[in-house]
Amino acid sequence: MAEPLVVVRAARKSLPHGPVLLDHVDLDIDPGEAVAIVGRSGSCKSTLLAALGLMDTFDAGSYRFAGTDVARMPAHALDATRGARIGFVFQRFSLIPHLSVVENVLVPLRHARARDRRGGRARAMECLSSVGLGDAARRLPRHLSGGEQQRVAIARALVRRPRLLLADEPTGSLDVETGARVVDLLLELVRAQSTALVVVTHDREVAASMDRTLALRSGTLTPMAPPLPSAHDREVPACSS
Amino acid sequence: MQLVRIALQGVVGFPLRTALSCLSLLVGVTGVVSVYAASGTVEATVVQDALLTGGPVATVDLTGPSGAASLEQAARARRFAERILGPGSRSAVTASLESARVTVAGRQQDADVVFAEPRLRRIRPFPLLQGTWLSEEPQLVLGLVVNRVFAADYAAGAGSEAALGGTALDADPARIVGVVDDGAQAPTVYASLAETADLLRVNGATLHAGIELTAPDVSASGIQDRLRQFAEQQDDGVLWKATRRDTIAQQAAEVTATRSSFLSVGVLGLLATAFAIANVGLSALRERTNELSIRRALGASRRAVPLIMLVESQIIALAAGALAVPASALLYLLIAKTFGAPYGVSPPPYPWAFAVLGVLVGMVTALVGSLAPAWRALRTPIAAVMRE
Ligand SMILES: Nc1ncnc2c1ncn2[C@@H]1O[C@H](COP(=O)(O)OP(=O)(O)OP(=O)(O)O)[C@@H](O)[C@H]1O
Ligand SMILES: [Mg+2]
Repeated sequence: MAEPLVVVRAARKSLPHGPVLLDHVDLDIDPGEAVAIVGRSGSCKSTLLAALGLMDTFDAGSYRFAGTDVARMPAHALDATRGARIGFVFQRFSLIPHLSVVENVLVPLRHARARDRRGGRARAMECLSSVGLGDAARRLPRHLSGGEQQRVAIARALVRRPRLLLADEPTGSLDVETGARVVDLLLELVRAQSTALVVVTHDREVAASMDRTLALRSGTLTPMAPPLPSAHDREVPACSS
Repeated sequence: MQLVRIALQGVVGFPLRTALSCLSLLVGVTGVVSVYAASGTVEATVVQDALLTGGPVATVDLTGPSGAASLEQAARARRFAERILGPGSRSAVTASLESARVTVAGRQQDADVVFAEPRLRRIRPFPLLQGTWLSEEPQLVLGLVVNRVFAADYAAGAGSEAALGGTALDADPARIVGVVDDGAQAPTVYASLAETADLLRVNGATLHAGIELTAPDVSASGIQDRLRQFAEQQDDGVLWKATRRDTIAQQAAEVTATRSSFLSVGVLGLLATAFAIANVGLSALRERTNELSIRRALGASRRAVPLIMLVESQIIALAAGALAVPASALLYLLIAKTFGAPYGVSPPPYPWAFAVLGVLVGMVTALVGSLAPAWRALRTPIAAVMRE
């Protein structure tokens, strides 16, 4: 069988002259797989995600992404790979305020090589339509609701058809219902183009809708028990409390 | 190309920042250019006035004898002086008559009357505002030339009827043939010595003759000594007293000093412009830093970050420059016209150096204002986006 998309072995990360943030981290993610990572605030979930997303590096251990040893990649290759193969959705959307919605979606393409930019605008519009915001293309982010802004961020994350999508508490700034819809949309879209998904979340329901859930405790990843059926799948009457 | 596009999005995305930067540069460049224009025109005016009233460097006034015979003595002394001073010199005999009276339109006017050889204008190059200068040839009617102040005070001009006389005789009918700018503040009338010979002879009691002469290196005491020796040889007993007349060098030095202090104010203004632009650029520091970090997270290379800001700032600076240079040129023309034209002074040429300096200052400060976010974005780890 082909190598998983993400292979992390005995990875370690500490602050310079400071505490160890991550230690003995092992992680395999197959193409198209959806993984949830849960953990307390301050348990270094974002730190792990940054390293997986090539925004940061592990200090020790190994990380192979799409068959390549990340430690051997020069800086410009890290930037290029991050742009082309990895998509990001952040808790606070991180849209560029002075750019229109469609220009925000186009940002990853603007920093891509010329050959990858071809047909970019059509692709951006396609992504916007797939998140239901085809009509909002020319508006500015501040004129959209939180849920809409996060959908723009999802369209932006998918515009270059990444192999891996990393979402750091994508529902953290949204109400429960909007959050649930955004996660459903995210899952639907990554499955449609077999993009692997890693979601950091505090929300058990969000975690439950992924293929598996890992817990980050004391800097180490441990698998959680096989997911319980999520609340709304359970055949019990809705609790009135 | 993509870079220019991203930069243009920044230019358009912060319209207030762009407009304020353009405006600062516009004000700064026009400010320094107009200070330059105004002070340059004033300088030219002052120098011109000094030249008209005092003659070039060096001009000497010789005064001495009075009486009807003094004109003849002055003419002899002048010929001698011209011979010893050589071909680079110019000179003219002048005379004043205490009893001279000028009448215009039947009314006697208060004015200084200068009797002079027409060649006086070769020493002091009075610009002709109207008509002609005193003629070397005899005329049917006595021709007078008045200065600007006279023309303005007594509503007279070329063609006006006038009369010139002393105490002893009836006034000679005359006509004003021209108006000149002589730099003087008092109404003044110029009349030709040759044409007024009779008038001067008859009124000789109050006549004072003089000589005005100029040569590049004449000294007052030197010429006075030579003329004394000449008088002893000639045995005509006339003692000439020489005084330096030209003031152009001192005036120019004074004006230049004032002018440089004005210009330094202009340059300070340009500096204030620089701070304004840098400040406007820095006011979006946090937002821009954040944007650049987002771009990095989404695949932008390290190199792209300062390049985006560089191109963006230079687009703004050049756009501002493209506005500021023509605007300052227009204002400059206006100032030069307003201040210079009435004095017949042509303004100094448009100060391209200052305009270019202004645009350069704009380019550099816009760059400084926009490199700060680039620098910060490069220093913060990309992963900081997640904690924003
Ligand atoms: N560059 C850094 N400098 C200093 N401290 C850091 C740095 N990166 C991470 N940390 C520290 O590491 C710890 C983990 O941070 P991280 O953001 O990864 O946690 P998290 O699990 O994402 O928390 P949350 O759920 O609140 O987002 C925190 O205590 C943080 O202060
Ligand atoms: Mg976090």
